[in-house]
Amino acid sequence: MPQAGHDEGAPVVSTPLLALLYGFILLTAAVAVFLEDLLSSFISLSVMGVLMATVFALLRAPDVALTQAIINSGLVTSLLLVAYSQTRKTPRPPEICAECAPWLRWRIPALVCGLLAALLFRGFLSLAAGRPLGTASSHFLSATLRDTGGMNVVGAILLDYRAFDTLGETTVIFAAVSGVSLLLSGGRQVHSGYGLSFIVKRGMALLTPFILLYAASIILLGHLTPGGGFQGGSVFATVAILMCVVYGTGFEASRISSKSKETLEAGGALLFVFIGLIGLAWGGGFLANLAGPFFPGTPGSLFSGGNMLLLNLAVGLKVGAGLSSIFYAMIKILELEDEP
Amino acid sequence: MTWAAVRFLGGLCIAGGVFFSFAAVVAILRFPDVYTRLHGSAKALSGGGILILLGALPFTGSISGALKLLLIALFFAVSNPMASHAIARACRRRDMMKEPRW
Repeated sequence: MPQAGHDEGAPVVSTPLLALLYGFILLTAAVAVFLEDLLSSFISLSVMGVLMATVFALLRAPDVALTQAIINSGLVTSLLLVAYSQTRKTPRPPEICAECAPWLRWRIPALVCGLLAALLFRGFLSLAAGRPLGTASSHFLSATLRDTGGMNVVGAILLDYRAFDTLGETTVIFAAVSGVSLLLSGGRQVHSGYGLSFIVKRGMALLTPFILLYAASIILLGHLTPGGGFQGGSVFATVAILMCVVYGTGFEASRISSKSKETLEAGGALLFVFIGLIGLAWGGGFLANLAGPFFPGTPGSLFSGGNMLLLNLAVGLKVGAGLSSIFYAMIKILELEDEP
Repeated sequence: MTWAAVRFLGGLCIAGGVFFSFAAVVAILRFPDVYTRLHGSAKALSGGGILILLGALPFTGSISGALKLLLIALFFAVSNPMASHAIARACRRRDMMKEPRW
């Protein structure tokens, strides 16, 4: 493997390794589509998430790799499992022939997928033939520290250049939480299991402080190292989910009430908008960072990068509280028949 | 002991970890029921993962990197038996032996 630090755009990872990983990603995706058993499909999807995280980490995009690993392999799989246990299992409709090849069974999806793949390949070819790739990235790599004072270029793009988009993304999570709560709150009986065995409870208690510390470090150092509010908030939500599973939902609700989750989520959104309004009041525009009242600080120290630390905190509060309340709303109607 | 010998030991650990992971895959595919398969799959992490992490220690190049690897190995050593125990207990409570699915 060639060393990092030479000219940009050159491959950092050996191509055969990447090709092998891409092949495995395609294989797991195909397995997830064509398996009859839904649970095995979930496991295959989870493996695909891990492989994609590996590819992102190899291609030097650790922020995306973190998100991919946490969201796709952890949260999405657990949400799918809850949804699976909540839905009725309907048998296959009889008019579909089980003996046919898969592309004959699903003609229209196969057609759509083929068309989409052709379009994407066409776009890729035109990109490769035309202007050189990587002009925007080299601009951001050289200008980010001067413009924002943050060391993490991806975090700076998300929270400074594209902060308004990030506000929109957090609003999407708010909409998802509202929808799930609305759908699942219909006056059902709240069951709570007693959780798993004593060994797992004690082990979880041993690990929880370290997971919380990790989440806090991802959020607070988001402008310096890979990570940020979204990733750290997802790790916080993972802690809440683990508590639901290990100790039972009743315990989780008694420790972190859903009222306080709502308060934290709304507080995160309010903090984000408030920081934006400070920039507006200063005359630098909505969500202005260095053009507003925020100072760049020493590069590499905790208090640097202007408002990015506060914005990471706001996004972390919002994502952590939002994802954990989605999971709580979904799992609280499960009956876990496990004795103490 | 010279540096090359330490690296050779690291490589040996990684080879052992690969062997354990391979053996775990064979066990999951070939063993007859839930509990024996669980017994095999636990080796993928507690044998394979930890050995590979220990073998990667001489190749990190910094003390902080090596410490991180040791912490991850410790995390595996705590969490993997816990997870296997939880799965085995859930299988026993739901009487997975009474309906052999494979």
